[in-house]
Amino acid sequence: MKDFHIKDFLLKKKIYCILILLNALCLLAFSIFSFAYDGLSRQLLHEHQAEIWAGESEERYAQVSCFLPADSSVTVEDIAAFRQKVDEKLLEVSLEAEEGKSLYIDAYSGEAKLNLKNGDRLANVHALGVSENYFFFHNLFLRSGSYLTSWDLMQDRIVLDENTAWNLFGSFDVAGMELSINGKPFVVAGVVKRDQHKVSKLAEESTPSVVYLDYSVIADQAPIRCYELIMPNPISDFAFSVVKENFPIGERGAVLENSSRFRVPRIADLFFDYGKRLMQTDGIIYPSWENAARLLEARMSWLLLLAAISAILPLCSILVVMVVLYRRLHLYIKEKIMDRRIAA
Amino acid sequence: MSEQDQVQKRAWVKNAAIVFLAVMLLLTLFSNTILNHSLPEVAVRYAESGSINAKIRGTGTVTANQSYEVSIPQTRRVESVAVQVGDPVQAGDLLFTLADSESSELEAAKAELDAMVLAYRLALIDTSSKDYAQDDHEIAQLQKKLQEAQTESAAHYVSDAELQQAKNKVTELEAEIRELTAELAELGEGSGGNLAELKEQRDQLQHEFDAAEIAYREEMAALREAAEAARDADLALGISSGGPVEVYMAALAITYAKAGMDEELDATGLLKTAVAAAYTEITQLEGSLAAVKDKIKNDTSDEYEDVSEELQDAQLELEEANTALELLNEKKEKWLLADESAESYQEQLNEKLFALAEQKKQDNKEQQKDSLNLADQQKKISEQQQKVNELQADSVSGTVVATAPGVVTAINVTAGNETMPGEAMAVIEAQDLGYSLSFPVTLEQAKKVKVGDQAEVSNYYWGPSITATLTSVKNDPENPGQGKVLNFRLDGEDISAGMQLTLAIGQKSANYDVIVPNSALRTDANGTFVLLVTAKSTPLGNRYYANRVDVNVLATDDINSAVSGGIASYDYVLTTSTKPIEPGQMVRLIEN
Repeated sequence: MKDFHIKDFLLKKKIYCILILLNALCLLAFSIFSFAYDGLSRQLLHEHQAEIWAGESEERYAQVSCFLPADSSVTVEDIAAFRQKVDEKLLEVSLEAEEGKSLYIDAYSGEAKLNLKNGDRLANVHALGVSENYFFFHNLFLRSGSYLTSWDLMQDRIVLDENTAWNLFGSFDVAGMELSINGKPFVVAGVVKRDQHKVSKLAEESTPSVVYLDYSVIADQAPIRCYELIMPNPISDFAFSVVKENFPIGERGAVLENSSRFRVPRIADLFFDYGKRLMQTDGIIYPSWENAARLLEARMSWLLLLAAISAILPLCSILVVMVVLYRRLHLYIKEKIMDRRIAA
Repeated sequence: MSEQDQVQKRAWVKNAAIVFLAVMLLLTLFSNTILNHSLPEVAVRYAESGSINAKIRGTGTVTANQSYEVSIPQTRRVESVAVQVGDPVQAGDLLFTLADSESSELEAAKAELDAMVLAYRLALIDTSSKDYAQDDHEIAQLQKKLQEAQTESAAHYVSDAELQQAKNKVTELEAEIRELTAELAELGEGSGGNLAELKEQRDQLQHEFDAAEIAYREEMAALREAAEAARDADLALGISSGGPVEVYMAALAITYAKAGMDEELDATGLLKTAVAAAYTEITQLEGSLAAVKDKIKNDTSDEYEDVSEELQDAQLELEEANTALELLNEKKEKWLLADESAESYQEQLNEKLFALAEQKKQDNKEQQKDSLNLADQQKKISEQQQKVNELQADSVSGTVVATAPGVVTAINVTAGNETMPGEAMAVIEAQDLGYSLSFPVTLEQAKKVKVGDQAEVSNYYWGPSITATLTSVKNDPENPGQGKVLNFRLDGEDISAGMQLTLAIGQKSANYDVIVPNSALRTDANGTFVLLVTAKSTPLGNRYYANRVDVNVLATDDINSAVSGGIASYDYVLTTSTKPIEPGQMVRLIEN
């Protein structure tokens, strides 16, 4: 009976047909935007390493990054002290790692310019001095060899990107080969392919050749600029507050939680604070992966806006239909009651 | 609904069914390909048995175990260089010929010698003996003044006894005067016992007499008055020419007046008697007073005078004594004054003498020092002279020779240029003693090696081979407690100091059952693991799955790690992938 009424009603009114069509289009657009939003949020792997670290564990983990200004004075010793703080904080919430395992993983890095030499071939590259677990956070595709690892005995191993490997050796399979930096010999540990995502490529435009070596090698010319940490997050913002309160970020450093940065409320916040990010006051030069993530955030904020706009019409329509239905139902019940009374 | 409408509806259903079937067919045919493209691509390697060869690499500069530098202490011009780098030399072989000229050092040494001689002479003048004439003169003056003051003091000397004597005399005389005065007073009083009494008596009588006289005179006056009244009444009666009453009255008045006159007359008579009596008494008293006075005068006058005279004498004597005492006191003051100035002069003299002595002592010390300095200067001058002589001698012999056998490894000067004093002109290495090389390592790295291990030279690809043997592992003085230094002995031909060599020294290779590439090892919150890639046959071909296997890392080198756990040789391990891999996930092998 009800179906008949609606059908009848819609068939009779042409305008409703158009409305339905529009609603369907809007819903389709909303679905597309939502899907694209979700897709974008998963694009940058280095923002989702907390899930990889968690593995099959039931514990909740969060990834937090600290960015320090170019003249930061944070040292490796400061980081060692911070690790102790993390251990203490984890103990406070009754979390302790099992023998031979760790509850958290961290990495730090600094940047400098270096001249690499292999025989007569020279390459001026952007060098990232990284700690042993850097490649856990930045899981670049290995063309050959291996990353720098915590098992390394020597600190003279260097990971090249494809571009540098090609420039210096003319090949990508160069793990174990030697090159020199300022006359000191280094051994190629591996060759990596750089992040192929659009935003990453855009962010890395200024650094066409990148090499990765042990932080201790360039510690004197590259202050620590980025510190990343994955640690248990038993309650929301636990990891974030541990880092914020205990890491020596100074007055101009920035801390952010990577794990939750692409969630809708955070992206919506970005839109509400639109343009605020353009004002740089803290002297931080963000690393390329963070710039990529920020670029992605900006794009996602537009997608979110489009999704929100496309949801307006369907939502209004649903509201109108529900009101009409309610009224009709009300009328129908009234009539029924009247009929029964008359029958009685 | 018309029949045409129904036909149209059926056509639509038919078309939809055809499209659906076509899509299904396509999907079925290409499912494998589609699936494969949606899977992450992975690279795999076999797990193998093999050895792990952890190598420690280091770069250092080759140093000769013994080398010496040839240098001369003068700036000289090099005329010719007799050897070339690499030349073997014997002790005494000519290395350099120097131009025959005075070196700048010789000139400087001569100038310095002249300056030193001048300084010595100036010092000699400065140290001539000191003059104390002024001080001596001042002392003589002071001594003279002191003598004068002492003489004056002696002239005015008053002994205490003398002064005391004068004082005693004054005191004695004063006592005598006091006694005499008392005696005189006593004398006056003792003779006048009656005299005073008599004087008092007389005074009283005089008083009484005066009173009686006054009373008598008053009575006399009253009497005269009464007489005058009576006379007046008489006269009145006599001349009364009136009636009887008046006469009677006059007669009565005369009677009264006469009666009054009589009374007065009586009183006057009495007073006259009393006055007479008083007068008599006074006269008597006057007489007795005079008598007393006379008596006094007679009795005491002689003794009194004597005493008075004595007193006067004593007073005179006292005056004299006082004068003498004052003179003595004045003299003493003068003596004290002179004495004081004498003392002050003495003090000044002493001070002056002491200061002079001190000055002389000081001057003596300085003189000694000066003489030492002079001796030193003399010695230096002679040394400088010797140096000049040596330089002069050297400037003539213009050759530099090798002092020990070896090989010339560096020549730092060229003909025509000047040498720098003390700087190496050439370096000669004693080859027989060998070469060494060292570089710092971490404690962990140092644990991997032991003394006697052979190291490979990795950057010396040309020429004859060089062997490096680890000779010692020592603490790194630049990084105490955290680092070690590995010292190597180098053997081989064509080694020379200054070469940069990179050595690789390795742990003795150990064999392990399972070694995997380092890139296959993964770590997460649950520990270290590898992803084993296993194949499953399906009708549509092989499917590959990545499964997690927890492992323990036993050893590691630059390329591989030895592991233990649920993994065996010839298992496929995943080394890298295009996307993150979840354990159990299906993967696609890279097509090479």
